[in-house]
Order: sequence, then C-alpha cells, then structure tokens
Amino acid sequence: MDKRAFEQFYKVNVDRIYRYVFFRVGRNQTVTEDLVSEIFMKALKHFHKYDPKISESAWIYRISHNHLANYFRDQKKHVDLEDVSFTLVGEDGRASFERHEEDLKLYTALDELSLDERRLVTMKYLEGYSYKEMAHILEKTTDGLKVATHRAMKKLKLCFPLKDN
Amino acid sequence: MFPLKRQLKKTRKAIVPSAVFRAQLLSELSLAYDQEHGCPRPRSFLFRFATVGLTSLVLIFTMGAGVYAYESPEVTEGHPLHFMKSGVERIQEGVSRSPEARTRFHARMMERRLEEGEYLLSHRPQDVPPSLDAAADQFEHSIQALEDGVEDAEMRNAFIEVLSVRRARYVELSSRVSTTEEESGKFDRLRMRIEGHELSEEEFIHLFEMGRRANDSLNGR
Repeated sequence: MDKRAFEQFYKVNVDRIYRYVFFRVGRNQTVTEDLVSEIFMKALKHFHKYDPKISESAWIYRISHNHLANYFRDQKKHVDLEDVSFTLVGEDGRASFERHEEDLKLYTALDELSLDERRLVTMKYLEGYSYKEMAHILEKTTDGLKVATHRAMKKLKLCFPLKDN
Repeated sequence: MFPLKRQLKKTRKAIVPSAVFRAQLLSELSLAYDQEHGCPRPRSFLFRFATVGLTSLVLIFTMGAGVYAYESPEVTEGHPLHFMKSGVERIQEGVSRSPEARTRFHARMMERRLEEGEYLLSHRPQDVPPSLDAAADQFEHSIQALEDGVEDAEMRNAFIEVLSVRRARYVELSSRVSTTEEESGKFDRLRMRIEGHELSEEEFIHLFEMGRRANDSLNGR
C-alpha cells in the first residue's frame, strides 16, 4: 500500500466525511472529530482492500455509514442515517451556529424537504459531492440525480425565506 | 436560486475540520501506517548528497548541451544533439503566433540554416544543398507570414530589408557551392516560389533591389 496515495485520499475526503458526520451527530464538533478519526483509521486498515474500480468517495462513504450505524447502535439510539435532521439542536455546535441566523433558516427550510430530497441537497451542496460521485454512492444515474436535485432545490427555494427570494 | 446556493455554499464552507485537527489526524494516520508497515529507513547523508550532486550535474549538462545545440551551426542533421536543436526550434515556432512573430521567427531560422550551410561547406560540402533548401523553405514561410497580416508599412519594409539581405546571403552561398545542374535548379525553384506569392509589384522590386545591393556589398562591389 502506498502511503502517499492514502495521504492524498485523506486530503480529498476529510472535509466531506467531516460534514457527513457533523450533520448526523447533532452538529457536535467533539463527537464528529472522534468519529472522523475512527473512520479514517478504519479506512487506513482496509485501504489495501480498496478496489480502485469503485469510486473512492463511495468507498469511504460506505465505511462512514457503517461506522455511524455502529456508533448509534452502541449508544442504543435508533437513528435513520439517511435522514439528516437539521432542526436537531446541536450540542456543542449551538454556540457557533446559532449566531448565524441564515444558517438556522436554511436548516429549517431543509427540514421541510422529504428525506430523499434533503439527502440529495445535502450531498450536493453541503457535503460537496459531484453528480458522478453521488451516482456511484446512491447507485442511480447521473441524469436522474441532476433532475431530482434541481427539483429539490426549487422546493427548498420556496421554503427558504431569503429577502431576495 | 442564487441567494440560496450562496447560503448553502457559505454553510458548507463554515463546516470544515479545524487545521489543527486535520494535521493531527494526518500525523496519527502516518504513525499508524508506519507501525503497521514499518517506517522507511532514512537515506544516508552520503547517498542524498550523491543523488543531489548527480542530479544537478545531469541538469547542468543537459542545459549546457541544449544551449550549445541551439546556438551552434555545427549541430546539423545527423549530429547527436540535433534533436535538442529541432525541439527548441519547434517550441519557438509554437509560441510565435502573430504574423510579425512568425515572420521574425522564419527569418531567423533562414539565417540559422545559412550559418549551418557555411559550416557544412567547409566540412561536408555534400550536405550544403539540403541546408540551402531548408533556408529557402524558411524564406518562403517568412514571406507567407508577411503576407498573412503584417499591416504596418514600416515594419513590412524592415522585414523586407532583412529578408533581402538573407536572400543575398543565400545567393552568395549557393554560388560557392559547386554549380551543378541540380543546384542551379534549386535556385530557380526559390525564385518561382517567391514569385508565386502575393506581394505587391512594388514590394517585389524593392525586395530584389535590396537583395541585389546586399549581394553587391557582400561581393565588395
């Protein structure tokens, strides 16, 4: 296994995985950091098994998903990982985020979307995946995802009370 | 849609791991990797010194060879460094985009082919005709570039002046090459190629007048 290749892999994916975890643990920074560390340690351990034919993002996304599922099982919490509940009040995150009124408005608006719509908007615009990567992860076609995300954004626009809107 | 996208982007940018966390995690991962796969042994000072020294030497030698190949008229077809010369010239040609730059480039190339011809005349006279032919090609290209869009009359005249001197050198060098039927044929071909272009009659007269004068001055008349 090439150390540099893994470092590159880490640099490309760390921000997205951080965001992925952050929104699913109630925007708690400490928990997010712990979980992200564990996820990348796991990825390092299994990097030799990684098949380059599969998208890197899809691979680490799956590891993150399974790791979070284990985390919530250990916590004896039942959480639907596909559902990013934005109105969940953050624990430590509260102080830093409540300052941004627009952020809260956005979270509230996102909460108005259906589970699938929210997932698409989150992946595309908050976690920063490309449509190609999303297609790998969600096992759907790129064109279909583009249409669905556009529709979700239109709906979100109606729920998002910006002055310009 | 744009304010919404802007807000999403702002939110995304706000949610990033801290630089300290990123660096710390990377170093932990690096440590974990080394523990599992063994830390690579650092190279000895002597080895690093030798590698750096050798690389620098190769680099200096390559650069020196490149400069020599480019500048020297001795580097002609068949010389081991000729590929460097033609490579640099191709790059130069690639970056010469405007008609002025192309005219200048081809005029310079014509001069270089003539310099090579001079060298070959005293070393391998049998190789002079291809060099003369290449010079004639460059002359043709510069005339073509001149036609293509050098609008400024002053610049056009300056180029014509330069080209007429080159042409005179070409004629002079051709005359020193043993006159065979084939070679004189080459000169005719050059004349025909020049006449095939669309310079104005006045410019042609100017070009040939200047060429004649330059030729006379070369012959000491």
